[in-house]
Amino acid sequence: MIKINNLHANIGEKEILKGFNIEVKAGEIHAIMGPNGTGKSTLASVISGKKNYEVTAGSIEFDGQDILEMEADERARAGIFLAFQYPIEIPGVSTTNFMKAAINEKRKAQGLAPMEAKEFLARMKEKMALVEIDKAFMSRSLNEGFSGGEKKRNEVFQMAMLDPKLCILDETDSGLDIDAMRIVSNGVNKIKSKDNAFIIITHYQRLLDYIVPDFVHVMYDGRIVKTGTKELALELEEKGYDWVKELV
Amino acid sequence: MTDTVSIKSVFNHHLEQLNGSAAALSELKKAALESFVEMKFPTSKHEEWKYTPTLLFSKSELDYSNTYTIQGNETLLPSAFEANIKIVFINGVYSKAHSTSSDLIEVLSITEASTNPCFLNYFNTLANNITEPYTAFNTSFFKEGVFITVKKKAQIEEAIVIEYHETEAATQYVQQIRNLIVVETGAIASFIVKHSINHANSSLSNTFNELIIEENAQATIYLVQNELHQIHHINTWEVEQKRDARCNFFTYSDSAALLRNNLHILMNAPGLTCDTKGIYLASKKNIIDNHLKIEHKHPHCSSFQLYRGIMQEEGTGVFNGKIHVHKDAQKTDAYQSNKNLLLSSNAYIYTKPQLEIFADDVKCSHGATIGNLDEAALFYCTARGIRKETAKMMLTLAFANEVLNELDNEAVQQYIERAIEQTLLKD
Repeated sequence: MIKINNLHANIGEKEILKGFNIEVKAGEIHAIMGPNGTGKSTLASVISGKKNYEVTAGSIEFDGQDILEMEADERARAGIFLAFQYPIEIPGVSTTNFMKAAINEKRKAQGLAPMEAKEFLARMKEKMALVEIDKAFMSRSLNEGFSGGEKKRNEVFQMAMLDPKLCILDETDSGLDIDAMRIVSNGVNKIKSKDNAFIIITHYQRLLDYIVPDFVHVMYDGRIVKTGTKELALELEEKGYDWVKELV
Repeated sequence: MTDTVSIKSVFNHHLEQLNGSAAALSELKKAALESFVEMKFPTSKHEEWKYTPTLLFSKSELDYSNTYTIQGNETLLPSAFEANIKIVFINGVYSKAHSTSSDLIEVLSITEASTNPCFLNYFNTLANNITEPYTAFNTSFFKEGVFITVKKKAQIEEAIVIEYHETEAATQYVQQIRNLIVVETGAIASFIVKHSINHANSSLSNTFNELIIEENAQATIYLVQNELHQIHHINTWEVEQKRDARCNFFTYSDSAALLRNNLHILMNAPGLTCDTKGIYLASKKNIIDNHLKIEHKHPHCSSFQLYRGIMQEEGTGVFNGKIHVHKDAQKTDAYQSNKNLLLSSNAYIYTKPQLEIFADDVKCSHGATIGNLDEAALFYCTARGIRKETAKMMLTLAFANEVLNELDNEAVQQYIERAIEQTLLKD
């Protein structure tokens, strides 16, 4: 589904990604772990098309197509979804209207008419139940005044609404209490299918008790230094990241 | 026409024309002219007119004293708002034939009204002919306008619509419209004031309105200033609230080569509330200027100013929000918020909160901001597949909605939301 080859990316003069490689196939869950400041969030931003980064070398292929020249919105419509580490508050735009705009822009690009109101509402209702969001949230301004947990649930809700092929979760677990963690993970497990794939970026092993990865990659200094299965996450938890640094 | 001699000769001609009933006002007019000649047309050296060059008025070769004659076959734009009570002006002249009334209100042309004792009781009581040049200019030369009385205890649910239509013929006159609105004791009424300009030339109008809200009465004004195209318009509202009266004032402006709104609210009893809101959207080379003065004269009054400005292309916005708290106006609660969005590097905004506080136990807050669309919010939208242009529109509308959502009139809300969308799309 996505193939990243020897990816180098800078922010300003500073090189953050230094030859990053990964291949994720449909139906797989990949976890990327690593200490702070190692380039995990940069990776998520670069895949989703954020402008502040400059890709200096390497390639990203999504469904066989080079996406580096594509704008963020085109990538999203192609099926890439980023669940933000820090979801943005947008005063004056309700979650309902935001979702309506997102779904209809995608349909427009596919040459389809806007989604029927009835179908849209049914879909909203179904996906809200998935992450246990109360319908009162839908008419409130997007993320405004939401707690950390509510924001993250809203991200997973949007993911469910848009039905992407590749879901990237950027530290969705950080700052979540056990309840929110359970709800978010349940949501993800229900969205997961043989046709989509997940890249889960996390600092802690805890989330992986709920969402079981097929592969665990350890990232350090802008690239993957070790790959294994879910046992690797436990090993990291036990030994800490200093052990990773010695691998380099 | 700027020199004193020619202004005076035009004025004498004007007085002769009046001879009939309105002649009762000629003393007032003479005094206003003296004061206007003293003040002259303001230039950019005048602090209150620094960013709003009204040069065209002074350079105009048009006869200030003349007015249009309604033909009856003018091509007018269709009404934007449905209404049972409608007051229609064509090229600055009130047209009874185009208007519809009701038992709950009385509408007289200003000429008809000029001998009416009730009219004379209120007329010119709020006009500042001494230091406001365009007020004195209007008082000197006005010939057209209406006197509207909303009768005692009348409860008018549907908004009354005042329509100003202009055809190309309007460009031959300086329109000096003079209105007086009295909302009598216990009455409730709202007005939508809508301009519909059916030509693309620059016409000049200097409209002066007095609004008196009597005891326990409520008035809501919606100024809908789109479709002003290339006109130069000075629009002054002097408002007085009596005991237990309530005033809501909303202004939407998205057009005009030059538009100056003066809004002065005198809260003339203790315990009053007035609420002012506005959205201005300046495009092309438009200059849109909102000058407010909220006057707290008595204790325990509250006032609110909530204004949002959007400037695109080479548009210029001006906001000047004055809150004047008199010495005796203790326990005043005054709030002002003015936020501005600059969508282009060639757009300008001049914003000035101006608090003049002479009482010592008051709560006055103000905030003014100028900014661009939030890049993080734009990225968040595009990361959900929303095209950048759509995202910009969505965020800009959301910005305006902070004011729009607060309005009580759904027809006005919907109309303005569409007007904003259309104006932004032209970018």
